[in-house]
Amino acid sequence: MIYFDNAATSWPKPPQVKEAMNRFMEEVGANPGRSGHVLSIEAARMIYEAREALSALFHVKDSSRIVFTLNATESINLALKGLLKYKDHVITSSMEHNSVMRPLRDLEKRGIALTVVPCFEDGTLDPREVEKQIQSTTRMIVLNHASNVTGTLLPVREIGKIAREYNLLFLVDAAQTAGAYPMEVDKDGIDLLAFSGHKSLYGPQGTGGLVIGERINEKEMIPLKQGGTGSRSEFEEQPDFLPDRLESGTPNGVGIAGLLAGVQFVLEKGVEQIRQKEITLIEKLIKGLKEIPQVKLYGPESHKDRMATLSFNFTHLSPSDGASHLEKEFGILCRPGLHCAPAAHHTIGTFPEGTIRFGLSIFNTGTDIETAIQAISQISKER
Amino acid sequence: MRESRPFDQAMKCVFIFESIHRVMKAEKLLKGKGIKIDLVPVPREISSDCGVAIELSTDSEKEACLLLGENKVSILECYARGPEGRFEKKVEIKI
Ligand SMILES: Cc1ncc(COP(=O)(O)O)c(C=O)c1O
Repeated sequence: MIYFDNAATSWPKPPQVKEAMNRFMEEVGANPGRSGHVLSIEAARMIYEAREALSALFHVKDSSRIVFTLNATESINLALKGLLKYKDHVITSSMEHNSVMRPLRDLEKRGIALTVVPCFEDGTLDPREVEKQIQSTTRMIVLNHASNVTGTLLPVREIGKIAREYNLLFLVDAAQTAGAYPMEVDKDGIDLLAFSGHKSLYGPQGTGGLVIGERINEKEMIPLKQGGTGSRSEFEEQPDFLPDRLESGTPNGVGIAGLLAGVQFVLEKGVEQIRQKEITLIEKLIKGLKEIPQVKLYGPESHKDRMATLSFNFTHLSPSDGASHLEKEFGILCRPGLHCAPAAHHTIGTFPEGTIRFGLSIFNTGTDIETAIQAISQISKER
Repeated sequence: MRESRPFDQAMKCVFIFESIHRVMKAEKLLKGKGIKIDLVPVPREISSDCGVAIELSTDSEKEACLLLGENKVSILECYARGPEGRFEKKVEIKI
């Protein structure tokens, strides 16, 4: 079996992730920050180390400015709903995932103005098109770092500069890049970085987070939920400091233990090295598939503009039929359809049928790629 | 219930922090510098909160305060423990 659905969630995970989760369940298991006993303290130490490891990865100075969430979707919702106010104008791109589009469309009904800047057919975006849309009421730019449909990288650093120049908030959806592409939150001009823990950070499902940049006043940020934090228990109001302000209730201790092991795995391997390996794999795949006339590829060709995620279609088969052949005849697991990103499929011209998507990870091999090219070649000859 | 720790120890002081995150950061910094500390439940006389505090000998109090100050870990409150085990708030500490 070959797993090519890493853009949804990575699998397998490094063995140390499972071991860390097991260890947490067997030896720690307690609620951090809620009492002074040894197990509670041990849980708090683990969560502190997880924030520190993520800070090292994203170059964040103060790790208390990283809050844990269930997934990137929750992080994006927290950033948007926690900061946007009535009549604010927001700019986003036409390559966004529904985790950005749906909350924005909902906020639009509640009096927020939204501009969706069109991207090119390969998913790339001209930063000047974003700049042109800035108005006096513009408050935030929201952008995915890389598309989950085509793997296209968006010009985050350039747009970060524009955001700083116009004093706008900049929210980046790094679900597809965190752990697989180098980033420095402040240098890249990012104010809010939403990430999944369960994709290229190799943690378990149910983990994610939001980095809250230094330019954000956390006291003005409205939490998605309020509740127990273990701190300031004598007061009935939510604390105004991070991370407690935005983290209520018992955290996902076992998940965060796994995420910590995943982030340590990424730090040990090195993001640059991971990227190099993934680029080698995706280039090999693109090169092989380009030779097959019954296959149409989407997204940019140059590795500089992309992640190791590729969308393609058979000219004679629907995406779901193609994926079904790949699984039944060749044991290749992938994802057909719209990938929760209708806007992106409109942009690349594949709405409503969608595409077949291969999302690679560091655990895929050159042999996996060769097998896949052969399988696709064979399927394309079947009719 | 009275404090279960023996009273015949050296004079101790207790640092209280805003959040568990700060306690963890402080612990790492202080232990990293070889300062002997204990993580203890926040004494009931001090706060009804259920958190963790850092207890250390008054001999290393100054060095600890300096180190935490340099690293922007602010101490919310500092208490000294008297010979009978009673806690007294020290107001002069402000970083
Ligand atoms: C670009 C993008 N944004 C957001 C998400 C949502 O991530 P999560 O499943 O962690 O909520 C995904 C993944 O599905 C994604 O690919």
